Amino acid sequence: MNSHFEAFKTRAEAVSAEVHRFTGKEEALAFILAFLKEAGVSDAPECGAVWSAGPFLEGARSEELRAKVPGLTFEVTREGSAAAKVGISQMDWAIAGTGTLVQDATGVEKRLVSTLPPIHVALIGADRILEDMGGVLERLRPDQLNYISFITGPSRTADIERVLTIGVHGPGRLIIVVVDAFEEVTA
Amino acid sequence: MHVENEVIFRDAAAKALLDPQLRANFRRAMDGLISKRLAQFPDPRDLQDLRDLSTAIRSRSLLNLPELLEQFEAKATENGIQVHWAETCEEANELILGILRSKGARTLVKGKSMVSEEMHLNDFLERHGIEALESDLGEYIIQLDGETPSHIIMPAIHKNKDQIARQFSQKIKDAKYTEDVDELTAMARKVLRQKFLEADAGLSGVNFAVAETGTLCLVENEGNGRMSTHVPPLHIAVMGLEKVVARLEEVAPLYAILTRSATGQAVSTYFNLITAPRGAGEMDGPQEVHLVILDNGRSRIYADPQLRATLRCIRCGACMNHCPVYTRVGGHAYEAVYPGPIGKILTPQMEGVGVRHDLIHGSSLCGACAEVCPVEIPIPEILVRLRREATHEDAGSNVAGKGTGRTAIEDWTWRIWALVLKRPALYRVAIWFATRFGKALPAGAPLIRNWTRSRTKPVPAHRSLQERMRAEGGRHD
Ligand code: SF4
Repeated sequence: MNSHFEAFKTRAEAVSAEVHRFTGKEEALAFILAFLKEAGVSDAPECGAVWSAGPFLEGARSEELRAKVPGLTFEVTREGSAAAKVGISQMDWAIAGTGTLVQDATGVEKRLVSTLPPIHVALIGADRILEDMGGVLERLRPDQLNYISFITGPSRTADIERVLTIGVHGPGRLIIVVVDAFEEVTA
Repeated sequence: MHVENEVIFRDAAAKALLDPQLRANFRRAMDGLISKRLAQFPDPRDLQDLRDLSTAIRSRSLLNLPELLEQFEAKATENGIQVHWAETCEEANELILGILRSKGARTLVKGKSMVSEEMHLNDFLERHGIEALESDLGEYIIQLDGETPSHIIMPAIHKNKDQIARQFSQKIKDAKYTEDVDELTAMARKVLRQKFLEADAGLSGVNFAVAETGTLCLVENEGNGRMSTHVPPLHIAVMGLEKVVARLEEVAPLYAILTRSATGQAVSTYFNLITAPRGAGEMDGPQEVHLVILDNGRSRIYADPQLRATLRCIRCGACMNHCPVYTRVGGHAYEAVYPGPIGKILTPQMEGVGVRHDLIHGSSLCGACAEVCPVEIPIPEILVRLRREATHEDAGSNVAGKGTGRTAIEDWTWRIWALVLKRPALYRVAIWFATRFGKALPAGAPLIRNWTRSRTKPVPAHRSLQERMRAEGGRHD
């Protein structure tokens, strides 16, 4: 049980992210599959889903997933991401104080799936939630990581009359899937 | 040297005051920003602690600026970022053009960057046959109309949604007229998304550069900053040379106070740390990352211990939002890249205190800017200093255009004043005339009207103090 989860959830929801928590990998996977169905992911044009592979997927039968969801691919390209409806990626840290997700996005595919599709599903282990940004910066080694993303809620702007508008250039929906028993998955 | 006293700001401000729509647009937006900022700082002691820390970090960074820049360049180069130095805006523009040409790039998509505004990069590139498209929603809106930003954080805040609706329906192909902000945003998204995928290069600004790791930090909400830095195959970043800090941990407080002061957000949606171009074997992401570091007068500002504080600025815009002048006349009246209080001290130092004399006087010195500035820049004190610099040619001063803000009339007024004060007989005659006929001078007379334009005419006493002393004798009652 991570004591920071509740604070994280409150903050993330305050900036329009959707937060779901599951005890294990199977439950999380079942949720994602159901979500992709509901979102209308299929092999029709502009309806695909791109998943940038991370430790979460290891042993997660990606072949089986692909068979279950037509339109889901694990080969991420720029064009594929731009045409997809949903992007899925795994995060490395989260910050309770601000509802922020942090990702080592050295692999460009992680940036693409979290930026180009209108919906981003972000996976994170409950034990990866830290209290504040300082804690994350201490653990990061940016000189060894080409690109690090801090993401707090879906893309937004207030450039027209300061009216808050969600989903300008980046995703309009950010679905955060928190998994308690994440270590077992990555082991 | 004397130049004609420039009055751009005074005249433009007077015009802006007569535009009720413009005033309403600014008033509403600034009130919103002020209250959102306040909500982020419920405890004034916490705010002061964070300001102290941020000010210390920025001051210390500036103190070691030359070393930090060297360290940063070495580290960034090691990481694979190509670092270029530009002393002037022209040099910076040429550098960017050179980089684009070397890659055969014809289209550039831009994330928000005030330094690129300072360079007038878009115009320059257009003149050389390269399309430069703004992708920040606000910047996109003003670019469609060929305007400049009226606020450093919210560039299109002078427009309301009806004006934007009309503009989009006329300028975007196949666009229908709508005043729905979501629909307007979606329209811009569609146009820009296509451009992002086609662009040969992306450009971004830099909020902080970290010396120990060679990292560029980029703060944004829309996601266009992310896209500009990893969707096109080439990324060019531009920054002023003051942006560097020593260590990564110093970024956390600066970032925290930046977003809170700017838009009243605890954090921005995106915060990107960029350290290197695409890795070996990768198919996407920028093949090359270039960074152009611009001086444009900053090292001269740096050389003066008092004026150096100008370079602490983290471009949050809070001084604008709280300025009683800015909130009434808006950003365009300044006719400068950086409007508002920070612009009033930055622009004259870059362009010369004589040339932009109008800006240093366009302030009531009320102090609201210094009170909210997250890095405690003493803007009113610097304004007073620049006012002096504009009319005095102090030998030790390094200020651009020092002494050139003095007009011939001003010069002659002081000469005559000195002449009269040095001769008691002449002084008595002058005072006799002033006390007898001063009242009769019309308020609209030349010279007098410079004062009476916005003040009542002073009425001299009908006897001078000397005369009364002579007549009544010294009394102690
Ligand atoms: S001068 Fe201070 S308040 Fe104004 S933009 Fe710079 S940091 Fe913000």
